[in-house]
Amino acid sequence: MSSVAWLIPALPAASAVVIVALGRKMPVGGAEIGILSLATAFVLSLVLAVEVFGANVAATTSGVGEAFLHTARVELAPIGAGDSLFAGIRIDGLTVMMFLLVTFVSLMVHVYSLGYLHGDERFTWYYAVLSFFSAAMLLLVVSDNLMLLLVGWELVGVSSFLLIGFWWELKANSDAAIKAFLTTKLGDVGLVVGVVALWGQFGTFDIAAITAMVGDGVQAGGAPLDTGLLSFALIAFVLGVVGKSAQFPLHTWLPDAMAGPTPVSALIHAATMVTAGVFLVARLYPLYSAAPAAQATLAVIGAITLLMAGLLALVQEDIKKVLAYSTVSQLGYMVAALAFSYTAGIFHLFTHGFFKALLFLGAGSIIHAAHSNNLRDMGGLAKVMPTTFATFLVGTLALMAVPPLAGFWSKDEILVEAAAAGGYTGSLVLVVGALGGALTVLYMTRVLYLTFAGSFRGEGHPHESPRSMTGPLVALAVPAALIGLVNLPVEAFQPYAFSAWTMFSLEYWQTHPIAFEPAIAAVAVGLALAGFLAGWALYRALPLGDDDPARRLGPVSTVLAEKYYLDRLWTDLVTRTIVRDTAAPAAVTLNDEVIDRAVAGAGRATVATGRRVYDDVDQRGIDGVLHGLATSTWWSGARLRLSQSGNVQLYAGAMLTGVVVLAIVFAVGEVS
Amino acid sequence: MTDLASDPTTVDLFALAPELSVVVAALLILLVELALTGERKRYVNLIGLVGVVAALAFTVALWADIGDGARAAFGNAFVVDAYALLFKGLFLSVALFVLLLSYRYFSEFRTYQGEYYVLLLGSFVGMMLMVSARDLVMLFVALELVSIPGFVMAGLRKFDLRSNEGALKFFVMGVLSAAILLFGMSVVYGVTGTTDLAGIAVALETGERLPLLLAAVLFVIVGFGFKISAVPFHFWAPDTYQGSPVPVTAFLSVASKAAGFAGLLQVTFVAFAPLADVWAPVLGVLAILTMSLGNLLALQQTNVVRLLAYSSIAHAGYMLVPFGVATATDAALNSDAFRAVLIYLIAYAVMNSGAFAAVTAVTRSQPSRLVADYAGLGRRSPGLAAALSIFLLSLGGVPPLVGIWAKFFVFSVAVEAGTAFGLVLAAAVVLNTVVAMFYYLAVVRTMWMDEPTVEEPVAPGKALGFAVGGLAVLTVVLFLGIGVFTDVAGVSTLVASG
Amino acid sequence: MAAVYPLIFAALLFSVGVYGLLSRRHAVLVLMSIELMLAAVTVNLVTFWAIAGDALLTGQVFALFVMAIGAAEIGVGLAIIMLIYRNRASVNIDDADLMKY
Repeated sequence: MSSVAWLIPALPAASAVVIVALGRKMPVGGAEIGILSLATAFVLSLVLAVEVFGANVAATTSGVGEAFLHTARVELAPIGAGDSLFAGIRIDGLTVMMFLLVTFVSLMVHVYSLGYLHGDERFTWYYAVLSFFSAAMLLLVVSDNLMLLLVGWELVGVSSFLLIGFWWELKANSDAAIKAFLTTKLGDVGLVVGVVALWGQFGTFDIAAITAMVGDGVQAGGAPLDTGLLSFALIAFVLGVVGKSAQFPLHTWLPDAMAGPTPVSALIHAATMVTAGVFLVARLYPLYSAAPAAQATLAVIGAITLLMAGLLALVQEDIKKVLAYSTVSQLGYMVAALAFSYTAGIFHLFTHGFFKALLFLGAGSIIHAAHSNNLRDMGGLAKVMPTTFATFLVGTLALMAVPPLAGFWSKDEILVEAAAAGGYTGSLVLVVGALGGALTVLYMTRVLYLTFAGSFRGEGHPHESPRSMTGPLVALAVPAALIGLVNLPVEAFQPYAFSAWTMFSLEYWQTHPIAFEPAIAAVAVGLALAGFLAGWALYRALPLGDDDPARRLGPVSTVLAEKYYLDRLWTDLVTRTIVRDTAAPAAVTLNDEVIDRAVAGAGRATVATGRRVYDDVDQRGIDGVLHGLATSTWWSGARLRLSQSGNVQLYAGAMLTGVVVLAIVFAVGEVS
Repeated sequence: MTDLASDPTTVDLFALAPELSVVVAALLILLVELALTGERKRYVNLIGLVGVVAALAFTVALWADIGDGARAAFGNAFVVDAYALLFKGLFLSVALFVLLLSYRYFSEFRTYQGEYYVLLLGSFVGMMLMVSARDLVMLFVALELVSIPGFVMAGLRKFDLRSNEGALKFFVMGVLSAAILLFGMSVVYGVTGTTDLAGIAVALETGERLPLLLAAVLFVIVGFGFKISAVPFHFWAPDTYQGSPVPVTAFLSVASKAAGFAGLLQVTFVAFAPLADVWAPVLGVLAILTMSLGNLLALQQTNVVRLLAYSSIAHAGYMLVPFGVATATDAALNSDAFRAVLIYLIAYAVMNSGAFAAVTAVTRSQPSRLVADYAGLGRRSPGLAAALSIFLLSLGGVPPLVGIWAKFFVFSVAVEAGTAFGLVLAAAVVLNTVVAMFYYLAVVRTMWMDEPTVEEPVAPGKALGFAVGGLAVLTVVLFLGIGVFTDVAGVSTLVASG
Repeated sequence: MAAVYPLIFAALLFSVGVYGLLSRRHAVLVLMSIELMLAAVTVNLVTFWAIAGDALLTGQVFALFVMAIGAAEIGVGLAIIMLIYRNRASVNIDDADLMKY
C-alpha cells in the first residue's frame, strides 16, 4: 500500500486540473470531482494508516524492530556538486497522521462549501483551488527532501493567497490576501536560508540522510557535527515557522485572513496551512533534539505567542477573529510543546485540527444565520440552531481542555512535558501554558454567551443551516470529542496509543512515555474553572431571559452545572449550618459582593490587559513596525527616484563621480 | 608577446561559420527588402530566421567537433571553445525570440524594416564575436558592434520624442563608457605590453601593482558595467527601455545585458584574474547597490516597461554577486561562481524575454504601457495573464519555476565563499528577493483581482503567441531540467583554460 | 622627450573631453568632446607602443580601430541629433528630459 501512497497527493492535484478543464459543464459545477478525490484520498489514508500504525504498534508491543519508514524517489535532474533533485515520498507515522487530518478536514470543507458557496459565480474555480491547495499540502507532508518540501510550502502559500482573496471584488479582501502572502514570504526567507545552510552542512537535501548523519554526530564528509551551524539553520527554520504558523511577531496576517470564505478559514487556518510550520519542526525533530538553542527559541516564541494571542482573543468583536487569535494561541502551544516533546506537539496539532475546524465551520453556520460576523449582532441562537449549538459547544469544550474531550488530553500532555523538562524554558511554558488555558476558557465563554444566550440582537430571523453544512459539523464533532482517547496515558495502553502510531524511532518512544500528572491536571482544570467563573461573572450581567441555555444542556456540560452546584452548595451549607443571623447575610455578602466581585474584577482586569495588548502591542506596535518597514522602503525609493533626473549630462556626471570614487578605491585600497 | 598559433594567412571558416551565416543573412535582407514592397517587406524577417537557425546548426556542429579542445582564428584573438559555443547558442536563441517578437510589431511600421533587421543581426554578430574574443582589440570591436546598432534601434520610432530621447541618452552614456573603456585598455596594454587576455593575466601575476594600472583595470570594468546597467552606470537604462520600441527593449534587457556579462566574465576571470582581491570586493558592493536600487525604484513605478527596466537592473545586481566572491587563488570557488553567473543568465534570458513578450502583446492594443492597463487581464486573456504571471513569479523566485534555481546558485556560491562579506551578499540577495515580491505580486494581483477597464481580449498573433507560450513552458520545464545546464556550464568555464 | 609627456597630454585631453561632455549644452559640442576623448585614447595607445615596441604593432593597429569605430559612432550620434532637431527644433541637451524618475 505504501508504494502507491503517492496517489494521495496526486488525486487532488489531478482533480484540480480536471475541475478547471471540465468543471463548469458538470451538474454540481465540479464539486463532485473534488469531493470524490478527497474521499478516495481519505479512504486510502485510512488503509495506509492501518498498515503504518499497525507496523509501529507491532514494534512497540514486541519491543523490537524499527519505526515504520518507507521512502521511494525518482531522480529529476542533477544540480551539480554531486547532488541531484529528487521527487520522493516518505511515509512514516507522522506523514500518515497528517494525511488523515488533511484529507478528512478537507473533505468536510468540500461538503460544507456546497451549501456555503451555493450560487457563487466562481464556484467551480473555488473547488479547483481547494483541490490544488489540498494537493500542495499533501505534497508538503509527503516530501522526503527539503527542496520538494520547499516547493510544497510555496505552493501552499500561493493557493492560500488565491483562497483568501477569493472575494477580491472587495479591496480589503485582496489586500488581506497580499498581506498574508508577503508576511509568510518574509518568514520564507528563514526557510530558504535554513534549507541552503543544511545543504551546505550535510551535502544533501534528503531528510532521512540528514537525520542519520545527525544521529551519528557527523556532517558532510565525515566531519564532526558542528552544532552551532546546525542551530543556526534550525533557528532560521523557526523564522519560517513564525511566518507560516503565525507566531509572534509575524502573526498579524492571520486575523486579517479571515476575509476569506469561512470554510477556507476552517481548512487553512485551523488544520492545514498554519500547521505546516509545526509539521516542519516535527519532521526535523531529531535535528532539533541535537540543538538545544533552537529548542529554547521554540519554547520562548511559543510561550509569548500563546499568551499574547489569548489576550487578544478576548477583545475581538468579530467571531472569526476570536477564533483566529485562538488558533494563533494554540499554535503557540504546539510550537512550545515541540521544544520538549515530539508527541505532545503533534498530538495537539492533531486534536486541534479537528475541533478548530469544527469551530470555524460552526462559526460559518452562525454567520450564515445571523448575516453578520459581529458578536453584537448575535445572541439567542441556541434555540433556533440546536445542531450548530450542540456541535459548537462540543468544539468549545474541547478547546477549553475540559476532560474528557480531546483538547484536555493534548493540552495536558504539553504541560506535563514542560514540567518534566524543567529549567527556565520548561517552567515558562508550564506557567504560561496554564494561564493560557484560563484565558482560553474566558474568551470562549464570552463567545458562547454572546452568541447563544439571551435573545437575538441582530436583524432578520435566523434559522438552522442546511444539512450540507450541519452534516460536516456533526461529523467533526465526533473526533473533536473522542479523539483524545487515542492517547490515554495509561501504561498498558501505551503501545497501542497515538504516540506509538506516530513515533519516528522506537528508541525515542521507549524513553519518552506519555505521562499523566494528576497535580498538573488538577491545576489546569482549576484554572479553567477560574476562567469560566470570570466569564460567567462578567457576562451574566447581560439579560439572559428565562430560557437559560445552560439548563438545556443537562448532562452534557458538567462544568456549567458545577457553578450552580457550588453556588447552591455554598449558600445551602451556610444557611443550614449557621443560624439565620448576621452570619448568614454576612456570608451571602461575602459570596455575592466580595468573591464575585474579585472574580469579576480579575476577569475585567484580564480583559483590560487584552485590550491594551491588542491596541498598543499588536496594532500599534507590531503592525506598526511592519507598516513602518513598508513605509520606509517606499520612502527611500521615493528619495532615490530623484536621482533619475532625466538630464543625460547629470547621468554622465553621476556615472563619472562613481568612476572616480571607484578608481580611488581601486588604486588606494591596494596600498593598504 | 602574442603567440601566433594559427597561420594568419588562412582563416578557419568553420570556426566562423555561425557569424558568417548571420552576416550573410543580414546582407541578403538589405538587398531583398529593396525589392519587396508594402506589406511584403515583413517577409525579410524569415530570411533572418533562416540565417539564425543556420547559425545555430553550425554552433551545434562546432560543439560536436571541438570536444574538449578549441578552434582558433586570427592569431588566437578569436577562439571557439565550450564557453563561447554555450553563449553563442544562448544569443542565437534570444535572436530567434526577438525575431518572432518583431514580426508583427515592425510590420505595422511599414518603414525601416530592412534596416531594423540588419541592425539587429549585426548586433548579434557582435555578441557572438565578443564571446569568442580573447584579445582586447577584438573585445572592443565586438563590444562596439553590439552597442552601435543598439543606439540606432532605440531611436527607430523617429516620430516619437521619447524614442529619440532614449536613443540620445543611450548614445551619450554608451560612448562615454566606450571612451573610458578604451582609456583603460590603452593603459593596460601599456603596462603589460600585450592585448591578449591570457598574456595580460601572466603579466599581472608577476608585475607591480601600480595605482595607474589598477585604475585602468577599473576603467575596463566600467565599460562593461555600463552594458549590464550596474549602479552607478545604470542611469540610461530606465529611460532607454521606456522610450524604445518594446522588441528593442526586450533585446536590450536580455541579449545586450548577457553580452555585457559575457565580456565582464572574460575580462575579470581571465585577464584580471590575478587581481581578484582588488576587483571582487568592489563588484560585490556594486552588486548590493545595484540590486537594492533596482528593487526600491521598481516599487515606485506605474509604467510597466519602466518597472521591468528597474527589475532588470536589480537582476543584474544578483548576477554580480558571484563576481563579488571570486578570489585569485581558489579555482573551485571561481568555477562555481562562473557557473552561477551562467545559470542565472540562462534563466534570466528565458524569464525576462517572456515577460517582455507578454508586454509586447498587450502594448499593441493598449499603447500606454501602464500597469493599470493590465487590470482584469486574467478575465480578458487568461492564457496571456497566466503566462505573464509565470514569468513574474519566476523573476521573483517562486518555485516550481526556474527563477528559484537562479537565485539558489547565486546564494549558495555566496555562502560557499565562507567569508563574512559572502554572507552579507547572501543576506542582501534574500532580503531583496522579498522586496521584489511586492511589485511582482502587485502586477499579478492587478491582472487577476482588479476590474478590467477594457473588455476585449488581447490577440497576440501567431509568432508572438508561440513565443510567449514556448517561453512559459520553458520556464517551468527548466526548473526540472536545470541539470542539463549545470553540467554544461561546468564544462565551459573559462577559468581552467584561462 | 620623456615618454611620460604624451601620456600626461593624453590624460589632460581626456579630462577636457570629459568636462566638455558634462558642461556643454549644444549636442554637437558634446559629440566633439567625445571625439576629444577618443583622440586622447589614440595618443595613449601610440605612445605606449612607442615605449614598449612590440613586433605586432599592436598599439598602432588598435589606434586605427579606435579611429574607425569612433567615426562610426559619431556618424550615428549626429544622426540621432538630427532626428531630435527635426522633432524639436532644438539641440539643447537639457531639453531632452521627458523621461525621468
